[in-house]
Amino acid sequence: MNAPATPLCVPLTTLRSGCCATVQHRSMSAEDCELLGAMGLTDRCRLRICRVGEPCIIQVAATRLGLSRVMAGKIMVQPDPRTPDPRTPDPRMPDGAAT
Amino acid sequence: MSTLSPQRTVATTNAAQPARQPASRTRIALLGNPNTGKTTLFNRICGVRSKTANFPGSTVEARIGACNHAGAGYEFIDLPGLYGLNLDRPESTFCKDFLAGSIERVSRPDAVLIVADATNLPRNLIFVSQALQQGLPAVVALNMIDLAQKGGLTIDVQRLGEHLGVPVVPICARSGEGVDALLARLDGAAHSESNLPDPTLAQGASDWANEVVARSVGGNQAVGAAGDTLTDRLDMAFTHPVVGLLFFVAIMTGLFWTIFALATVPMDLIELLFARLGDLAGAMLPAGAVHDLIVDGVIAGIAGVVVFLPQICILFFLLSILEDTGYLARAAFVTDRVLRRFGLPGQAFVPLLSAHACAIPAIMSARLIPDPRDRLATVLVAPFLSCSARVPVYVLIIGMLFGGNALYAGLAFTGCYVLGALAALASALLFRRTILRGPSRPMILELPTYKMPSLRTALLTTWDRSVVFLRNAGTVIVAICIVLWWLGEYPHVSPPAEVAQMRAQAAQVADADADAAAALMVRADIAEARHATANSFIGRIGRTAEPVFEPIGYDWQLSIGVLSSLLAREVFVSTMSVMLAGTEDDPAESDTVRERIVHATRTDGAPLFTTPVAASLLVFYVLAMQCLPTLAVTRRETGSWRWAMLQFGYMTGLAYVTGLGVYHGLLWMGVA
Repeated sequence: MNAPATPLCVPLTTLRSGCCATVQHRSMSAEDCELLGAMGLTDRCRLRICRVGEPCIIQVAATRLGLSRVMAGKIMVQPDPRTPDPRTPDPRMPDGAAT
Repeated sequence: MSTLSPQRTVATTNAAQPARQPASRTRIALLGNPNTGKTTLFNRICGVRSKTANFPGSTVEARIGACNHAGAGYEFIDLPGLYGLNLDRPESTFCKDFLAGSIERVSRPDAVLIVADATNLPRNLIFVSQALQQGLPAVVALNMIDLAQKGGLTIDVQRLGEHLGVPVVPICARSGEGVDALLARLDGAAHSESNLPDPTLAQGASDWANEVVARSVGGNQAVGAAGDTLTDRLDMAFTHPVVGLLFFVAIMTGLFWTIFALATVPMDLIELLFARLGDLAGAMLPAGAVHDLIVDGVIAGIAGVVVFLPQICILFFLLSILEDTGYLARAAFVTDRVLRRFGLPGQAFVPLLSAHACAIPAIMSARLIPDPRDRLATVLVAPFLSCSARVPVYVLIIGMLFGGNALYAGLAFTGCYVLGALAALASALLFRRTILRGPSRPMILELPTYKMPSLRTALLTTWDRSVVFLRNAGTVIVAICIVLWWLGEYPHVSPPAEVAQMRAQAAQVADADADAAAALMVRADIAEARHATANSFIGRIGRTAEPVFEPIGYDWQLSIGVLSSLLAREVFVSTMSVMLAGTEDDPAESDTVRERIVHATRTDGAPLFTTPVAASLLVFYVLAMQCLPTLAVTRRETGSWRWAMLQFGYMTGLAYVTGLGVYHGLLWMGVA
């Protein structure tokens, strides 16, 4: 029997445009964390990635945020399993490599 | 783009007692997240019956407006847009102190009007809960109700009010729908007695807000949560490294072309109007000190302020339009890629570009920059960009250097602009690594919804900025103009003996040779004007300062020209015209005047404008801080003369050293 897969937690910058994800934690200064939280980006909130790169544009509920790539890289997210994520290992590949 | 005002706050710990104003006006503080339409609501309620005021001891601005409704008078204080009252940021601290009544000499408001975005309730309710916990009676205005309904949201306003414990009124500030009902509910502002979340627990507040929304809102849970294709595409285009930059260049080119194209006529009209006013006053007043003070000091001084108004009005009108569309926030990311390498934020592009028209509105527009270090760096370097006042000086000097070669003259002109821009960027980098050291904040910006701009908002913003400029900067500028006029006008001295001799000689030959008599009179006028200028206070200062400027090739005449430019750079041209040609005519318009200036000589008979001297002077004018009105605005925007003096000293020092290098470098190369 296969062990249940552990949830994937990756930096926001590794996902593609159009992906949805859930914020797990934010590895940044308390001040930035507080500001982002006040702007709507809290832990466990769901977001949609509108644009990757510089800037990274995300949508959280009705709030659209532009973040520098540096800032976006500090946000750890769990990709929505319903949207394709390029970092998820492909079980069809013999070594389970990512697609 | 953030609508936050600059933040340097002084919040005292005096336990000021909340005091209800005995007068008829009830003081209402307007609070809300940025981009909730708070200012639109303020404009809708107060219109032009408002003013911008600084709180004592800080550079935080708030607009204060008045309104009468149903026999009751209200005073609204539009506080800066905030993401949270408990954030460790100066504007949050300030607003919290203001609501607590602990700002010195400022009484506590009587109530708060909290503006929330109906399309983004979960986030806005967190802020609402923080505002309600400040202990003031409150009313919540649920703005953009039209957009919420269009997006399929149904909000049970009654139930929402019960959860919050205060009246909630749905409005659309843009159209004015619901605003009358809102004003009618202000008397019913109440202290919330609901179970509000613990402000120290961020997750708790978020869970509480979501629960309230779940109980009060039906339909789609969030407008725009699903993929908004058009917005996504526009964002992709406007933030693309190549396409975005092209859009940006096109839009900014259009903006500044519009400023130049539209400002010229009103500026000329203003100058003409004040010239006529001066003539009228001159005709009415008897000759004497009062006449000279009014005509040449006060009227000329006021003209020197008002002439900036067209550029300021057009710039802030267009910026307001651009900001309202939502484009400016996207453009900030495009320019951030370039400017960040020099320690400046993306938002600095507006001040730096507009500085090519005039540094004064450019420095004022630096308020768009939220980080205080970034804003200060931008304010300090903005005057390096070649403004329109430098153009007459460039034309005069480049004409001397390359008069016969249009190509070289064009390259020299371009070189002046490039030198100014490079000096600005290099200086910004230096400041951010020394006196303004600190990590640059990574860009975090809320990208507002794209929408049609509001003409009403743009007009009111323009009016507000113009009044602020006239009232604050204008008074200082007029005072400076009067002082500089006085220094250039006094003391009155008798003309030298040779002048009387020339006039007597002209009278003798007038009948026999009218042309010769006219030429003698012109020479007499030139000699008298030069004598008057040389012996005025500023002339004496110029003579005293000559040893300072001598190493870079300037004699006492050029020293006077440089010092008189402190009033305005273009004054150099008229000063040189008077000093060297004996007339106030524009040398660009008169070959005779230009020829006289080009062939002017020093006291020992040597040519005044050699190539090294002209080149040194050109570089000096590119880099030096020679505009006292700009310094006055720097002082106002930074809240301290210290920064204004640093700006003056640094720029002038850099200009001197560079001029010195150019002058001696050319001499060393054997250029005469």
